[in-house]
Amino acid sequence: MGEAAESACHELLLRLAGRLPDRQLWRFRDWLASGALPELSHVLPLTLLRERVGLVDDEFRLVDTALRAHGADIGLLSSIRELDALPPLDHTFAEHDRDAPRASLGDPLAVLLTALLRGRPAVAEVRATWRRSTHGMVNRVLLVTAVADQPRLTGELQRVQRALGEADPCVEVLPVDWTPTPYHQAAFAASELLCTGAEDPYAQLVHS
Amino acid sequence: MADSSDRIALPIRVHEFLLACAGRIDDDALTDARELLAVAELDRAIELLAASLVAGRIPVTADERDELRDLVDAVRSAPALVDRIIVNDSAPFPRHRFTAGLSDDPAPDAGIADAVGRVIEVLPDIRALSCVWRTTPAGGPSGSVPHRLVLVETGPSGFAPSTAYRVEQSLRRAGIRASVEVIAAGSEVTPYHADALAVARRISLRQAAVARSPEPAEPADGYDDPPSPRPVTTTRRRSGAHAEKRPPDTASGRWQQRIASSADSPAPAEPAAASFDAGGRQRHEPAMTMPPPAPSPASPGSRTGLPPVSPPTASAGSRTGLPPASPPASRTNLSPATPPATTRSAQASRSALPPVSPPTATQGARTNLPPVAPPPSAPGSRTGLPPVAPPSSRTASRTGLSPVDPPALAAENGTRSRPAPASASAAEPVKDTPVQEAPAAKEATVDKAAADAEADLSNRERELLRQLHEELAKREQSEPAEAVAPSSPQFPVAPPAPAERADPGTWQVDRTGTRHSAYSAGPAGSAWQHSAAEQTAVNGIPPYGSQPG
Repeated sequence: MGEAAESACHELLLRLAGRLPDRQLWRFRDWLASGALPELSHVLPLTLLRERVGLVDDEFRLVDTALRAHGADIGLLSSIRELDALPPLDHTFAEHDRDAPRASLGDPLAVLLTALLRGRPAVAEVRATWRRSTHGMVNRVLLVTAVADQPRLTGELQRVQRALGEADPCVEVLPVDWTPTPYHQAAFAASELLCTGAEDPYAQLVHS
Repeated sequence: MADSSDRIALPIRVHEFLLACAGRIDDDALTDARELLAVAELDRAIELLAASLVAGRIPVTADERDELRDLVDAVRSAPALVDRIIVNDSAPFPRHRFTAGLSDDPAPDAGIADAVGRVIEVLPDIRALSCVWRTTPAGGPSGSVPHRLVLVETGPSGFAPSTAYRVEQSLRRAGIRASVEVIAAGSEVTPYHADALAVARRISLRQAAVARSPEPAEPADGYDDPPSPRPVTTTRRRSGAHAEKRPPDTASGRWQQRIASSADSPAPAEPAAASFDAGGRQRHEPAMTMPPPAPSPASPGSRTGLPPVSPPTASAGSRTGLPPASPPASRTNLSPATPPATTRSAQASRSALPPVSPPTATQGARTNLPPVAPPPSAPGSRTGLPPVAPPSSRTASRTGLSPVDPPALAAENGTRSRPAPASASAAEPVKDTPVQEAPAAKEATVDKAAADAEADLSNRERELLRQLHEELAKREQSEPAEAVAPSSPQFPVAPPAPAERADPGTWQVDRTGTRHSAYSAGPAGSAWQHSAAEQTAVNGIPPYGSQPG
């Protein structure tokens, strides 16, 4: 599996955050982290069609790079709706949410992530925010910036969250040089810093 | 285009494959696949399953791989989905641990009945519902533990895919996350499900229905399904007919309640595990089957030490409206000749008539019971039948009968029975007596004849005897010459007064038209033939000699 295809698929799945249901999105990211890109190539197009998710031009190029090489159904890909622009956000973000489950004696997830990622190579920042949907659903979103190996870090952090009881984890591991979507921009703007890794972006900025 | 059989068979095949993957892939993947299956997105369900097996590096057997390939072909998905599945026939399946929890742990069935009560009622052929905790993770991206499993058993009329989906959705709406495993009765159970069922806590379907019902909840203690989990295959004992006859609603619960109230006994503290099957049989035929003769409402005779009784007798008796035989004794005082059904004694009390035993040997043979004599409260057996055990104190209080020691009763009846031949001869002078007399004269004669025996009776017994005579007189006045059919519900059996057998002169059976005895075959038999038109049946049996041949 080429790194280019894997990177393109990871970026495609990042851009689908907030548009594809969390329940499906985290599983696709887990498959990618496990090396099941060929299987993902067969499943993702049908899912996009059934969920009525359209793609913009940049995303079609990512599909072409990531999925066609592994046997994605051209007919299904051709049926995916083309969007002129990204749809408006259906969520709002906040550093703290009044309906969010709050542990009065500490944040177990924050403690665990700090233990795992503090000073980890290739990890820059670890942040968290609360996302509220138009239906009132509140979910915690992890925002991690990393310089490499983003798909596997995504899979690892998702499984950690699932082991802690989060059924549909929302983990966004962004490349440090990636242009975030409006979704991620809004999430970053309302996030709190949990810890930093070895790749401190501020340190890089200082020493660059 | 798939034909109708494929449309039904293919979802079942997919469902069964998902059952085989339970415990091997993560629970959410199974749940999602079952949801896709239920909403007729078989292709996405199978693709999700195949990709999860590959991504999780979960080995399957060669047969399973072939089956999955057939399923992929059936839904027109890409065959490449199966190419990278790991095949290993010798790979051990992961073994999981299940528990119903300790005393302080949350119960696996907590809130389940409330959540699924409504959907259980509308889903077809739901046989059983059990819950258990799984304490080991399953699959690659496994969720947290403990993880709740809800095991549902369906019958032939159930549709497992939709059942799994609907139950899971109901639980989700109630905020309960659980894996719903729907297993068809009689199907092969995987070790995963067998281990789960071995410790699962069963939920009474009636309890689930009651939990949903707006009516006041009825006590479920003692009426729950037995908590003993067992492999699903054993439920094949329940036939489809029985399953259909078992309504998972409050009606059956109330039926059980009636058993409890009529038996006048507290709800048993222990689950009626051993007796539930018997109780199930009882429930299957509520209109036909009398509850067993025991204080416990759901306990069969074996549990109480009572001899087995044949239900049709009791129900037959109740259907004809005949006063039942004497109620059973307490457990310790029971004799083999004890007639069945404490509820019949309740009927007796309601009718204000003392209970009467089936008087003839034929009757006893039909019910597989030896003939029994009426209780001491009744005016003595005119048939000379062997004595019956006295009622228990509880039933006695209900029927107005006082408890009597069996030895004393036996002695007393033995005394009474001795004059049976005399009673036969006593019938001789009666045969020329006109059957139809003025009710007042008859009553006077009866009163005189019974005067000597009244000293031996308690006040209550005397009262009952008086009521009996009055009733008989009333009936004679209303229908003096009418020949009553053997199965007529209007015909009461008048037990003979105890003293009548002792005094040949008081043997007035012809007068009342109530001939029961097979022992009076001589002159009495001729007398009966003489007055055959006036002879009436006892418990549906025509009097001896009344029929040709």
